[in-house]
Amino acid sequence: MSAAATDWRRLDRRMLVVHPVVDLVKLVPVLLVIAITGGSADDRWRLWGGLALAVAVLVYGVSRWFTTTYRVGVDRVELRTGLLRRHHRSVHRDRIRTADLTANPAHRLFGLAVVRVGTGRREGGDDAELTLDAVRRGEAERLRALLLGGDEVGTGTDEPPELARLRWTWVRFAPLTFSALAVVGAVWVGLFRLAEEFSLWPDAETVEETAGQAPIWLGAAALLVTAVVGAAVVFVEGWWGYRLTRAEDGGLVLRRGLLTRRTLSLEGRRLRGVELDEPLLVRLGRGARPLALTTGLRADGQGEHVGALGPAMPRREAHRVAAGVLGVPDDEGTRAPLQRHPRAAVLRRLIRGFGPAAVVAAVLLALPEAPADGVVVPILLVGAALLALDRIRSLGHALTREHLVARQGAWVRRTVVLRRGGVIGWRLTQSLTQRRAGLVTLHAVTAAGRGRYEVLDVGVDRALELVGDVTPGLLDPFLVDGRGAGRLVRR
Amino acid sequence: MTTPEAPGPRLRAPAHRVSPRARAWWTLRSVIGTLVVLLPQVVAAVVVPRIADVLLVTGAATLVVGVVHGLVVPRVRYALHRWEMTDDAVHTLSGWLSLEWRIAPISRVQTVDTDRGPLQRLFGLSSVTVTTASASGALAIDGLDADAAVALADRLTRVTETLGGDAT
Repeated sequence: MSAAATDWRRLDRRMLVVHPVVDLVKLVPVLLVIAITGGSADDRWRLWGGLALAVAVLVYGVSRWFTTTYRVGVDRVELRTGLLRRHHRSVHRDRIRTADLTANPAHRLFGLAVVRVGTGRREGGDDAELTLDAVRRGEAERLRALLLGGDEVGTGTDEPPELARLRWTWVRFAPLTFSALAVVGAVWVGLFRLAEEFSLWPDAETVEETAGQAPIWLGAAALLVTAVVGAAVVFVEGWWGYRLTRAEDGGLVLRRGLLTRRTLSLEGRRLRGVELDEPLLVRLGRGARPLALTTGLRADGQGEHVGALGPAMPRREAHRVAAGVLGVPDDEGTRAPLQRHPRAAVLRRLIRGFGPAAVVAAVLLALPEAPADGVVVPILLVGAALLALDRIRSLGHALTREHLVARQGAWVRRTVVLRRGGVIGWRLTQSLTQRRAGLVTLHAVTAAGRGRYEVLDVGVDRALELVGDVTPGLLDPFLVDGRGAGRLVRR
Repeated sequence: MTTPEAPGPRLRAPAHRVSPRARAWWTLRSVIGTLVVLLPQVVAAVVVPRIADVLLVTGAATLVVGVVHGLVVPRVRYALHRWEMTDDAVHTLSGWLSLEWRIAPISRVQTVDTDRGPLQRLFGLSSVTVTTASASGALAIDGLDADAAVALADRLTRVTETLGGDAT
């Protein structure tokens, strides 16, 4: 480490332009509203207020460059920010788990990138994250390599092993994902809002006239087209240039994005397993989405799938990526042959899946004046039966050489592969009905992902066996010979 | 829905019960809960006499459920709740209708908190919460005798301090 590395540095000089411009662009809608509504003489103060706001934003944007400095020391990374209220944040380099680069279009125009340094800790409120917004692209890459690997960039000249790469045929899964629906919703809400704002909203008469003429399939087609196009656009923006490679330290590097380039790194030490998600629609298209269970990633996974290892892709490909990430042969990862659960578990799926639907159907039939019974009831019953069967088909678990594998679900079928060493505790729950059926739900507690992953409705003996295999000796002082039917705990 | 009655291994209940005073605490909590539901109904019945008939029925139902809950649940809880700390792990057993058994290896424990709410203070009780690196791995032992809670927390803290590591 050179002495120069311990100097306080400023962000890139080009941020003098980028910050104010980006902030101003964000302000445009507000200014527009002010300009449109505040034209009359007695509303002058609003115009001046808007101008003052714009100037304040400009000044603040410029000031950010002068007030922000950072330093990469031998054992800590420090960041100072704030004009009036100075803020000093420092992160111990031993604790750094992630260093991600993002560059939105404004950044990319100037060849800059944002470096986000994270410790991946969630406990105790010291979710220390440090954001350098922004430095030059080369500097960002250098920092990332420095903070994660301790090496300067470019030690390995040979291409790193590639785990996955974008194939354009995957775009077919985009309209099947939930985010596609969200996009459609957002677009339509946005359009309606805009129409309302500019009083383009047609009065009730016109609506009635035109609605009478426009067939219903036109509306449906419009929705469908926006869904497909919107999903495709989001897919292209998000996953353009997607590449998943293995880093030198055994971790992963994920690159993606058309307008906003993102480079996410997952440190190998933090990887606890993978998850394969198959939402119903995607599954019908024979697709799946691989996710990483990592301690450094936020568990919420909102909007952006923080743990995503890739977009929805063909199932076979997803299995391959998952196995590659885990570093195991194909049939020991998400495709490991699963053990079925006891008959009682199957029965429970049937009752729980079909029971509520049957009750609703009975009520519907009992009500004399309920309309369209002949259509609703069969759909309800058949749908519930199919879902219950699917739940039964999905349910399973396995213990491979290195991992605990569990699968369940119908709306979203989840296959979780958790490293044995990643299990840091257990939870066993047994409800009254489970006790009678001799079943128990086993939760493997882990520091990664959602915090715990369940093996649903497994036999009591098998649950204790699993715990014993994954964490040898932990339960031994608590095991007794018992014979109470299906009881988890003998009293 | 029967399973063959195979004598297999079972878990034994952890060794220690919580404080007997926990029953009083749980009862008081149950009473407060019942009142929170009941009082608005009484007020509504007085203010709007038109719906008093309906409220009489729901109020009576609330009272019955509340009384049964207050009488039964604390006892069942006391009978079921157990905890134990061995050299390797902390175990808790809790619940009343459904049982929940939690195990955290000592080597994975990150923080140990004791916590005394106003109600618990009234009865000289305390909770001990043991967290691990997991977002959902906390073990809570409620209704411990305050002194016992401090002793347990001390012991846990001492053991975990000697282990080191970041316990993920």
